[in-house]
Amino acid sequence: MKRLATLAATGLAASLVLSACSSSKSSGGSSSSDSSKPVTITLLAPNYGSGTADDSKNYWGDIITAFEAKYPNVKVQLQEATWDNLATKLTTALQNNDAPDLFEGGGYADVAAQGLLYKASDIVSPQTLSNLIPHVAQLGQTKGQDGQQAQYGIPFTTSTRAFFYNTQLFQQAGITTAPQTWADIATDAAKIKALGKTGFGLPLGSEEAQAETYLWTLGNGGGYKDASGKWDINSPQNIETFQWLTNNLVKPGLTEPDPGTKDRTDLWKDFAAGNIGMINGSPALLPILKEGTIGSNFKSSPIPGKTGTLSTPLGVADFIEAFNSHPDHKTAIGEFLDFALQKQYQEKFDNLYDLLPATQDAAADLSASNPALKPFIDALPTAAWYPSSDPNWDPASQKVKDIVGKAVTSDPKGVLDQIQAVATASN
Amino acid sequence: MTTRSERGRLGRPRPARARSVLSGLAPLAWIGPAIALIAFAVLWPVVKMVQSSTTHWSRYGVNLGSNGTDNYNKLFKEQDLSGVLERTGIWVVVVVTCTVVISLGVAQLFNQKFPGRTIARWALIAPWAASVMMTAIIFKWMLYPGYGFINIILNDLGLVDRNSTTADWLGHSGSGFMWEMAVAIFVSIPFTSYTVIAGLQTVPAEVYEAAKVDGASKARTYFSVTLPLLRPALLVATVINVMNVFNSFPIIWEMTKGGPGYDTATTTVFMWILKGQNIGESAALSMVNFALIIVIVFAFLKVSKWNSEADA
Repeated sequence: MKRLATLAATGLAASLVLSACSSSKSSGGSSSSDSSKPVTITLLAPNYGSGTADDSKNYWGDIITAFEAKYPNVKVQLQEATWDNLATKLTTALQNNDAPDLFEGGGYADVAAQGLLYKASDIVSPQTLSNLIPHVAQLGQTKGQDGQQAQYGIPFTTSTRAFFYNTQLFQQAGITTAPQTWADIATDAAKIKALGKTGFGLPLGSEEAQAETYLWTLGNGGGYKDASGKWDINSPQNIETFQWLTNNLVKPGLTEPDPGTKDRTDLWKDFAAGNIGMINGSPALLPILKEGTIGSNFKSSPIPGKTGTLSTPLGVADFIEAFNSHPDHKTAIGEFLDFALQKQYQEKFDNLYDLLPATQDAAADLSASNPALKPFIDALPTAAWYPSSDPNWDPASQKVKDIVGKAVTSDPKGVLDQIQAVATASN
Repeated sequence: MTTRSERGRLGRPRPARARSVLSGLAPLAWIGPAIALIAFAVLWPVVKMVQSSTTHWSRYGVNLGSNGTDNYNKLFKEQDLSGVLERTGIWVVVVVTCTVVISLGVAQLFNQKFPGRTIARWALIAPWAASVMMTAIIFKWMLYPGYGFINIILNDLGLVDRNSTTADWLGHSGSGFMWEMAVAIFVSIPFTSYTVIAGLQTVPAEVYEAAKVDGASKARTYFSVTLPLLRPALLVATVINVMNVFNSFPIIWEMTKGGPGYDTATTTVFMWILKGQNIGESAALSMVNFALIIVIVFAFLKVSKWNSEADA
């Protein structure tokens, strides 16, 4: 009898252990939108800053403090990530059924197609929606799980890209005008290399290779998609672009060593230290330049293409997306977004990082108050953008980050074929 | 004891038989927790792994139903896979071999009596005690072109110009992978050395005396007496190292993230990269890894006749 009891107890204990482990995921599904109940919402966002002073957690921290004072029942928890692991962090969180309520910084189409996002119109006020810059807001529209086109990505910040060069090095090398074509870049880079510096900074490492790739392929009439909207990553123009880069910049040693493994931020810092002659940058490079030793010895100009400068600058929009995994957080999420997208916070962000706004009132204000940003803001409507409303853009851009660096050391066609295969795969 | 007395009364009618079955299960009360633990910590994950590898997952972990062997087909069509497998083989063989050989020497040294031996033995623990990830990051910084510590030393010795492309060790797949293997060896040596030291201490002094009396040379004594007697310790050290090194992730991830492209990725790193793109395919690779490590370990144990008593 005693034995039986022991046996039963052991069996019970074992089954308890098993059931305890299998039931750990069932919380958080109940729905109630009682706004008086205290809730904690989470926000996953990248750090736009380059030091402790301009760390983005200060920016969000100020908004959160003000927001929590106004809405005492809502707590906002910020999770910050670096740019190079932001996408991985989100993917891992989603795979573990632990989505943040709000995510800022990445693509949205892929998750929207899976039905994981709220429509913007379901959470934020009509005023907030109509205040978004129309052209940019359009980029946030994609098909949801229901097959209907709707606004899923809420633009938070935008930027355009420009070409930067070190005027002091240009002077020493006897270069008088900014390069207009690829050939100019190669010639100037060789002159700068003769000074013992790096001619051109080419960041094809995992951090933001998709931007550098786009800038160069645009210069040859290529890009990620063709005119009809079909993926065209392994197009002859794109292959030719990488062949040109390999033969004219990388092989002659006019770039930093091994561009396929070098990240943007590191090279920007090196440019700010005066070690690189030319580099493609965004307004986000400006704060890094202020910290570097380059002083005011730099200038920006339109990005050179194969035969002339790019007529359409590359525009980049970072979106906010709201995950629907906690229905009881819905009201709070909307309240927070309406609050955070106010003019004063948009402007504060743009003045802090020299980036561009996503809302009309902030754009109008900034055009007047910050003349340095005005040309960039004016260029927004004509910019070329990533195909971010395509659900395959997220996996495709990840593949670009993973392997495009090899396109300048091995057969570019093989590399681009692989990326094209990911972009056109049905998921 | 109980079992035996019950068995004696086997011919009895039903109630007794029921009791005998029950008492036959009695040992379960003792081994039950262990079985439950194994079932929970070993078998259940394996079942889950097989399931995941035959399931179609969305990129964000939504289960879209079974898809048979699709994930495996996709995995074997992956054009980087053969390179990754080849590299994993090199990684395991080179790292484990170098670790064991170096550790044999280190253990011999640390088994001698010399002043400061205790401190030296403590110091040997350092690479083991430090987080592998931190060690990898520190090495990455030391190898930084231009002003990395290792590059400055090599530069001052006149071996490598610290601003040259050669100095960008982690930028090329060849030299990057070499340095990663070096770091893997560096962090594996302490454990292996300690296992060997423990083995050395079990070798009785008499056998050395006998060898001396027979006039054996130092080298002969080492290869004919010490090494054979070290076999059990070496076996343990090697098997554990093979598994550890095969599954090693942080060194490669921190130093090169498997890049450029996937040119420094081993199967474990590649599995992680795939997980961001296709969970099912990644699960299929983890099954392949699982099978590989089982085959490797069994083959190794078979070859080394681990359970034979005689050391002939």
